[in-house]
Amino acid sequence: MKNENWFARNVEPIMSIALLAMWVFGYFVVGKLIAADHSFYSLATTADRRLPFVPYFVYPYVALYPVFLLPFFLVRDREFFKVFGWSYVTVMIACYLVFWNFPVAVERPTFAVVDFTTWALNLVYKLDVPANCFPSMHAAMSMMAALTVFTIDHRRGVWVIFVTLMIGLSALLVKQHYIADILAGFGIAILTYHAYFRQRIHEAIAEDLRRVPRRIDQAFEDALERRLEPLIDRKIEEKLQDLLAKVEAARRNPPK
Amino acid sequence: MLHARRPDRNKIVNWDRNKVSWLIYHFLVGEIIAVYALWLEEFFIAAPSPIWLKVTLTTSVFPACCAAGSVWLYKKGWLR
Repeated sequence: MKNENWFARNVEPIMSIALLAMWVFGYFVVGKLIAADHSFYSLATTADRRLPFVPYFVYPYVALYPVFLLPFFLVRDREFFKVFGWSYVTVMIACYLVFWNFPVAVERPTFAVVDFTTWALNLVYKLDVPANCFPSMHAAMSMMAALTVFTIDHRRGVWVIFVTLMIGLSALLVKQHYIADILAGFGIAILTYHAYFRQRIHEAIAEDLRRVPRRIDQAFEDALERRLEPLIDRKIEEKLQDLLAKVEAARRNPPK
Repeated sequence: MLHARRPDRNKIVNWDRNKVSWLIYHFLVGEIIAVYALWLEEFFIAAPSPIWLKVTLTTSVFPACCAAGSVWLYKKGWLR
C-alpha cells in the first residue's frame, strides 16, 4: 500500500467525482445544445396521460444521487472497480448519443409552491432541463448502480434495486419522464451490465487495443513496401538500361 | 435463489481496510434513508419547520449520524 501513488490510493473518491461531473456536465451540455434546435419528439402514450401527477414522489426521485455514488465506496476490488467504472461511462455515452439523435421532451404540469414538497419539486424542475428524456438517465444510472451492488452482495443489491424501481416510478409520477424513457433506461443499463459483467467485453476490447501497435507497424511496413517497390524497380531498370547501353557501345566500338 | 449466494467479502469495503470509504458509503446509505424518512414525514405529518432545517437534517445531520452509528455498530461487532 505504501508504494502506491496518490491517485491509486484515492481512486474511489477521484473516480466518483469525475464520473459524477461527467454525467452532470454531459447532461446539461447536450441538453443546452439540443434545446437550441427546438424540435423535440414526444413519447406520451395513453398510459402516460393516465398516470397522476404526485409531487410527493420527488423524494425517491432525488435518491438517485446517493445511489449513483454507492458502488464507488462499497467496492474494494480494483479490477471490479475498473469494470463498473467503464460500464458507467458506457451507459452515459449511450444515453448522450440517443439524446443527440432523438431528442425527446416532456410536458410538465404547472403547480403552486405551497409547502416543502412543492418547493423541492420546483427546485428539481428549475435545475433540470425538460429535454434529454429518452432514455431516462435516472433509470439507467440507478439500475447500473443497483446491478453493480447486486453482483457483489445480493442482500444489499435487492435493497438498491428496490430503490431503483422507486426512482423509475417517481420519474413517471413527478412527470419528468415517459414510460418508454424509463424502460429504455433500464434496458440500456441491463445490456451494459450483461456486456461488461457477463460477457467481459472490456477484456476483448483491451486485447484488441494491445494488438493495435503491432497492426499499425504492419500497415506502415506494407504501405512503405507498396510505395518503394515501383521506385526501386524503376531505378534498377534504369541502371540496367544504362549498363546495356554501355555494353552495346563497347561492343560497337571495341577498344583498340 | 437470491439468498443462496453469499456476499463477496473480498470485494466489499470494510472499516479496517478503508475508513474513509466506509464512512462515505454509510453517509450515502444514511442519505437514502433520510430522503425516504422525509418523504414519510411530509406525507403524514408535514411539520411546519423552516426549509433550511429540513434540508440540513436530510442532507447532513442524519447521514452523518448514520456514518457515526455504523462505526459504533462495527466496533460492537454487528456490521462485520
